[in-house]
Amino acid sequence: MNINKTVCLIALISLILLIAPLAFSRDITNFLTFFFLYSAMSHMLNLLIGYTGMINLGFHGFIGLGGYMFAISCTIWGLNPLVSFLFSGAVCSLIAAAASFLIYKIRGLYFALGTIILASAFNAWFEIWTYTGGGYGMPVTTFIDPIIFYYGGLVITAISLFIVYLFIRAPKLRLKLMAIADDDMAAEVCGVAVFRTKFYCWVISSFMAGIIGSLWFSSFGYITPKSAFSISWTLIALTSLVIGGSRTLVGPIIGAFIITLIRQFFIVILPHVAPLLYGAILVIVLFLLPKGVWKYIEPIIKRLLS
Amino acid sequence: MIDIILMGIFVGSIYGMMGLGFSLIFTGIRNLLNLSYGQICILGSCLSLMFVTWLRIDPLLSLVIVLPIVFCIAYIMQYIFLNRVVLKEEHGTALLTTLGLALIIENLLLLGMGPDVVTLSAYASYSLLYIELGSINLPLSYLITFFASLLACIALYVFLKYTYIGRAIRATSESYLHAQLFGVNHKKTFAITFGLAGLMAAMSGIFAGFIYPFTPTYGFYYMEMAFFVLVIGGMGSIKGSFVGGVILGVIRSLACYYLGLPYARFIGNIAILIMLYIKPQGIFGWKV
Repeated sequence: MNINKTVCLIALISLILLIAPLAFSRDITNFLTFFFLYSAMSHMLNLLIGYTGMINLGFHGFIGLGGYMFAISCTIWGLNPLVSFLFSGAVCSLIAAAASFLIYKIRGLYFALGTIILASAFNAWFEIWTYTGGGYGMPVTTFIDPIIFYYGGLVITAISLFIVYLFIRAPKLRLKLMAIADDDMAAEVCGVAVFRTKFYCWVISSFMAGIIGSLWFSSFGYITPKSAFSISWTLIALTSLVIGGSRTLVGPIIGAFIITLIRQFFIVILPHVAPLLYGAILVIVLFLLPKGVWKYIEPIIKRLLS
Repeated sequence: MIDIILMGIFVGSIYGMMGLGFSLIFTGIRNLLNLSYGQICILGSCLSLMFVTWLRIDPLLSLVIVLPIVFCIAYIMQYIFLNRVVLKEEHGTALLTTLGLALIIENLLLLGMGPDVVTLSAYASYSLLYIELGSINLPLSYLITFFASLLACIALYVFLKYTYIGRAIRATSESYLHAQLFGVNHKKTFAITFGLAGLMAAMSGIFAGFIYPFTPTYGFYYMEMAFFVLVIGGMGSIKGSFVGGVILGVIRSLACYYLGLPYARFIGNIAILIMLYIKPQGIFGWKV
């Protein structure tokens, strides 16, 4: 009965999400689009930080790179938008693969700073590259209809959730990931191919980051280095990951929901209060509920379903 | 050419001081990577600007007021928020907590003084004075900055080497359990270490504000500088940090002069990545 009820719940939620733009108002559709993109970012960071233990603080680098690659391929070269989404993801994963020396040369906390430096190297490059307008930025091809962004965000979230699900569902891979997250040296001694596993996670998450970034900036319609490579992308994804609870499938979704609520509430009235609240919530959650909110919600939902 | 290199050396002393505080936190507080470090630098310069405009005093004089405040803030941050996570051996959690603190400081500053680009040098009466050395013209503020940061680094060295608290800091950086056995209160020592690093951060922030304009959102940019110095100079070596800062300053000023500021940032970042690839442990090695 229990499994049936869970399946029914998931089916019901996905049905509601599928028909939401037709049934609900523009504001709710907009809110859900933001929520999808945030939760997709958060899922990808969950794969890296939660399951693999690679603290990647340079996630915004790939978001911005994806946005710029979309701008170049779709706006300047005039490619088909779908092709350019894939193109920007592919470029991001190629560059991530080229930068993969960060994974095996430096460990732990140094990796975190190395990724920040990588992202700001991208930032500096796009500020001097006149092909994309330098520091002034350039316009990006945009679709007028917000429903396209809604379904794009839905598809991207579903794909990233599915990727994380695949990673933790495969029995051997899950054990490998957990061993690496706990202690990568010990895992290597026990015969886990640490570099290869980390490399796959890194490249896949960068690919998805590229696609997410291209969707963001095609919805904004304009891209500048400052907005593309702002560290707040990483901060938002990280905060929603920590609030929801890392190393869980549902945690990032709940965190992204809370973050989107705060953002949509404050962004118009007091734009600086939203990041302030992210920081405060991050510290408070790490202090009081270090395992995230989902660990406390899960038993309640289970009791309701059974 | 010579005056560009000299300018680079003078500015580099600020970066050296910045990197020194960063590496003091890293070696002193159990490999804590402090992402709020840049925001503490900015906090120093913003507080200084506040007092300068409020009390109509010289920016150098504002050091006397700002440094104790920043020391207290840093002490409280470490004692209340960070000690708990640092002692639990969870590097990721500690990193995220510092990130949260960084966000809080940055956005409080943004709320307080807005996103305008400001500078401290407008309030110093001597910022337009130059000193002539043969054919070279040197701004007086650069010279003051250089000697002040040199003095601060030497003072930190003497403090760590010869005072009781300095010895306690060095002992806890080796092993806080053993230091505890010898009667050192490790929590207070961690907090004092963070406070000292905060002093270095605030001072470098104020001197940087003397030379460059700044806004509250420059924090992560400053931290990039500190990390660069850390990568060149190696951990916990005061001499290494200072030399690393000077190297960074010279590279940046040469790149700025010949190519422009965005290139300087790009070249700096690529240089860090290459350094991390070739020699992750820094030029001066890992000595304390």
